[in-house]
Amino acid sequence: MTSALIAPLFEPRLRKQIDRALIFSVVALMAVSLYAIYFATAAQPGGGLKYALRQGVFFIIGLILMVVVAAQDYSKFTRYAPFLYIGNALLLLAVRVLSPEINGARRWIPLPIPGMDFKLQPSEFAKVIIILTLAAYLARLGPSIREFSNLIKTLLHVALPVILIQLQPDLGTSLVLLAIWFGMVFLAGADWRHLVGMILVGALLFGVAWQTNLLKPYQKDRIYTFINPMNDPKGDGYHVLQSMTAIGGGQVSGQGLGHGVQTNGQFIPENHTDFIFTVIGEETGFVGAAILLATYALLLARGIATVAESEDALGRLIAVGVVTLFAFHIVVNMGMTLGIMPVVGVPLPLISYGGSAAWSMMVALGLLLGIHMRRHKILF
Amino acid sequence: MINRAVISPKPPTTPTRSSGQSGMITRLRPLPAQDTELSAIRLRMLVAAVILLFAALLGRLWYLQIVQGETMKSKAESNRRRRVRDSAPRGLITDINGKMLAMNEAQFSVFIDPGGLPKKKEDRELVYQQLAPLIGISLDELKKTIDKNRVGSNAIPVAEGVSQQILARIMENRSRLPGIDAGVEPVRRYPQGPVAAHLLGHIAPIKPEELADENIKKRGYRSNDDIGRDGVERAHDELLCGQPGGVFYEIDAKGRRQREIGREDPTPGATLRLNLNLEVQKAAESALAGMYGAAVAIDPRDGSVIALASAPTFDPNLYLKRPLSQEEYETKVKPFGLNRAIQSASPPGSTFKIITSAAGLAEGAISPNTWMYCSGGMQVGKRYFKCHSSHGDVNLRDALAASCDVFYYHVALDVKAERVAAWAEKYGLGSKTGIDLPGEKGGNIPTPEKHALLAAKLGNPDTRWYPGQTANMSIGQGEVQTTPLQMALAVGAVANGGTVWEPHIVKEALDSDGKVTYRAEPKANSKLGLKPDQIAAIQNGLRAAVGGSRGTAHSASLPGIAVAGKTGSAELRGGAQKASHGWFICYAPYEKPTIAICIFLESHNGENYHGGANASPVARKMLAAYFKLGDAATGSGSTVD
Repeated sequence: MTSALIAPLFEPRLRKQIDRALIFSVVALMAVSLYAIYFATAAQPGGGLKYALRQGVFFIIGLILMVVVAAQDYSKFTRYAPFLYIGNALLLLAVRVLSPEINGARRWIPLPIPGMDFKLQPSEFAKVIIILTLAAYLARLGPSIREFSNLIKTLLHVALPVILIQLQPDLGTSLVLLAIWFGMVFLAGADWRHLVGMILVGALLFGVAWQTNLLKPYQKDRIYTFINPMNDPKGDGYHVLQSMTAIGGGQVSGQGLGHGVQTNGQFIPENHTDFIFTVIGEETGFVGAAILLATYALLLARGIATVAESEDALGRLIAVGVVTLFAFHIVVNMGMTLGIMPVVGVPLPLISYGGSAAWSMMVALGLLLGIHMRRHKILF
Repeated sequence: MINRAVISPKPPTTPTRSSGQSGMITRLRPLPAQDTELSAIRLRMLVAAVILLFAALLGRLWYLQIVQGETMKSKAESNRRRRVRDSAPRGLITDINGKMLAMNEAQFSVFIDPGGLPKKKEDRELVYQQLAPLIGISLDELKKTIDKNRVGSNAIPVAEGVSQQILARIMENRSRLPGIDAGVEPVRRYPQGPVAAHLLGHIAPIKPEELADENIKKRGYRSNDDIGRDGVERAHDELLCGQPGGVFYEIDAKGRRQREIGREDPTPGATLRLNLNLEVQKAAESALAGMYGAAVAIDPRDGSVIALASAPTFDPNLYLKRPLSQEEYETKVKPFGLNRAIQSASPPGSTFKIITSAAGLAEGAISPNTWMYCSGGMQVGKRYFKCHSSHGDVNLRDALAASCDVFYYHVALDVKAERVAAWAEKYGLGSKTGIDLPGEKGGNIPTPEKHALLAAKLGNPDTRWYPGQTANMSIGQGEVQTTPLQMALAVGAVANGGTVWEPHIVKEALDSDGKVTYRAEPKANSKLGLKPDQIAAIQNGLRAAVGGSRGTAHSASLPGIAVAGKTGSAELRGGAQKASHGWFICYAPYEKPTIAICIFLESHNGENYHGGANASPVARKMLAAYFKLGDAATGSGSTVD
C-alpha cells in the first residue's frame, strides 16, 4: 500500500527529474526552524526541547505527505476538486462548533491524540486546497478568463472560503487566499484592466468596511500601529517595536545562537510562531537573515522554474499558486517583524512552529515537486 | 497515457479520451500562440515583483541591523536591565561619648515596581487581588495606597513593617506576583525617647517642594523617601543621608528579575558625633520636667553645645509611626514642638546686667571700684523705679552679686541706651547665633531709633524714647528679648575672657571606616574687647553671686567646684498677680571654665519663677552631672534671691 503510493518515484524516468535543489532548500529551512523554535522557547517554562521535538515530528509527517503527494500525478487531485472544495468549506464551518475560543478566535479542531494537545487548523489546508480547485477551474476556463464574467466567477470561487475564514476570524489567511487568486488569474491571462478595476473596487470596499466597522477594532488597531508603532509602544506597537529592536540588535553577525538578549528575555510574544524571524535576526544577524532570504529565494526560483518549464497549463497554474503562497507568506511575515508590513497572522513557511501550517506547506511543495517531475509533456 | 484534461500551450493533437468530461471539452479551446507569450511575460512580471519585495526585505534588514544596529542593540540591552535602588542607610547620631541618639532598625517592607507589573489591566488586577490578602488589607485599601504613593515609575511602598512570615509568603508566590517585591528597609529609631527630641529632630516623607530643590535632589532623594525634618536630622541631612547605590538586574519581558548583573554600593550616611553630653542633657530634662522652659550648656572654650533642652518635650519615635493619626499628632507632638532654647525669645531680666556692666566699664561710666548708693529705688523721669531691697553702698561686684537694679539704672542712664544696645549686640543678643539647627529666632535689642520706627508703624503719636525705657533695658526688661542659647553664649564670653562663639551641635562626622569627613571648627561671632581688669570685675561679681555673702545664687553652689552665675527674674506686665520668667546663667569652674549654662523657666501659666529659687537648681543638677559629682551633690543648697 505504502509502496504503491510512492511507486512512481522509483521510475527512473521520474526519479531523474526530482528537484534536488528544492529538497535541499526544504531541509535547510527545517533545520533553521528546529534551532529557532528551540531557542525561542528555551526561556519559557517547559519550553525548549519540547517544542522543537514536536516540530520535528510535524516535519517527519510533513515529509511523508510531501513525498506521497509528489509521487502522485497532480491531475488526480484536480479530479476530486468539487469534493475538496466542499470538504474544505465543511471543515471551515466545523470550527464554528468544535473550536475552543482562543484570543477571540475560533480556528481549530482539537484532535484527541493522547499526551499531546493538538489542534488542527483547517484554514491552513484551505490554502493548498484552493490552489488545487482554482487551478482546476482556471484550466477548464482556459483563455475565456479574459471575459470579465469568468474572472468574477473565479473570484466567487475564492470568496466562499474567504468569508468562512473571516468568520473565525483570520485576516492573514483571507489575504493569502486573495493573493493566491490574484497570482493565478494573473498568470492565467486575465485582462489587466479588469484586475486594476477590481483592485480599485477592493480598495473602495475596504474603505467602506472601515467606516461600517466590518473590520474588528483589533484589526484596525493593527493597521494604525503599522502606520506608527510609536503610537502605542506599550500596547499594540509593542510587538513590532520589540521585534525591530531584536532584529536590529543582531547587527552584522548576530548575538550568537542562544544568546539573543530580547529572545532570552521573552520580550517578543509569539516568537516561536509568527514572530520567529526575530530569533533568527537577533541571534544570526544580517548574515544569517540574508542566508535565510537566499534559501527562500532558491525555493521560489525552483517554483518559478517549474512554472516556466511545465508544458501543462494545470501544472503551471498549481505551481504559480504555490509560488504565490510562499512568496506572500515570506514577504508579509518578515515584513511584519521588520515593521514594514502590518501585523497579520501568517506563519513563516517551514519555520514557524505549528503542524497544520507545516503540512499544508509541504503538501504544496509535494505538488511542486510532482509538477516538476512531470513538466515535459511528451515523454519517451 | 495522458488521461487528464489538458490545457496545452499547443493545440492538442489527440482528442481526450475522457468521455465523462465531454461537457467540458467544448470549453477546452486551444490556446492561441500569443497566450504562451502572454503567460511568459506575466511570469516575468511576477518574478520581478518577488525580486522587488525580497530586495525591500533585504534593504530593511540592512537598515535595521547595520545602519541602526548599534542603537538597536543598546536599546535591547537597556530593555533588559533594570536598576533597583539600594538605599543608603542613614547615618547614626551619637553624643560625645558615643551614646546612641538616633539609629536604624531593620524592617521588612513590600513594594510594587510599576515597570514590572503586567501590561494588561486585567492581569494587574489579578496581581492586586492576590497581594491584598497577603499583606492583610482590602483590595480597595491597596489600590488607594498605590494611587497615593505612585510617583512616576518609582517603586511604590504598599506595606511597611511586615512580619517575616508575610515576607516569606510573598517570596514563595513571586512567580505569580510579577512586579511585587519585598525587602529589608532600615527604619529610624530614637533610643533615648523624648530626650533631646527638639535637638535631634526626626525624619518625614519628603515634600514636593523639597524634591524640587536642586540641593536636596542631588542627595539622591526620590518621592516617598524620608528626609530629615527639624533638628540635627534636617540641619545635617546632607551628611546623614549618604548616597544611594543600585543593583542592576537582568529582567525578562514581564519585569521579573533573572539575575544580578552589576551593582553600585551605596555610600552609607555619616555617623554624626555631637558635642552633646547625654548625661547633662538628661539632668537638664529631668530638672525641667513639669515646667515650660529651656536649658542650654555650652563649652566656653569653643562654643560646643553640651546640652540643649526644651520643656515640655515629646517622643520623636511617634513621627515614625505611620500613619500617625491626626489626633495623636495634635495631642502628643504638636503642642511640644517648640524648641524654647532657640525659638523662644523673652526679656532676660537681671542676667542682662552682664551686658550693662560691660557697657559701663568699656564706655568709662564706671570702674570696678565705682561705688553707688542704693536706697531701695530711684526716680527716673516721671516714674519711681524700685529695687528689690535697699542695698546701701554697692560697687560692681556687689551689684552683680546682690542684683542691685539702682546701680544699673545709673550706669545705663550715663552711657545711654544706644551704647547699651551696641554692647548687647556685641554679646550676640538680638540676632541669630548661627547654631547648626533650623528655625532659630534672633530675639530683639531695642534702641531709641528702632523704638521710634516701631511706634510710627503702629500709628503711635508718641515716638519718643524715655529714660525709663533705658532703665528698663539696663535690667533686661521691657523690649529686650533674648533666647536661652544667646544668654548661654553671652555668659560663656564672660567666662572665656570675651569671645562670643558660634555654637555647634555637631562635633564631627565619621564615614563608615571611622574617618573624619567633617569637623566643626570653632568660630568667634564677636570679641568683646574688654580689658582684662574689666572682664575680671564682671567675673568677680558673678562668682560672688554664687559664693559671696550677698549672692543671689547660692543654690547653684557645688562642693569643690567654684561656680559663677547671675540670676534673673523677668516680670511679666499686665497680669493681676505677680508673675515672672526665671533665668539663671552661670559657668564653672570659675578659674578655668569648661561649661557655661543658661536656664530659662517660662511663666507659661502665670507662674512666678525666680532665678535663684527655681532656675539655678536646674543648672546645679546639670553641673553635677557634667562634673560627675553624683547624687550627694545634687541636693538643693540654700536659696537667696
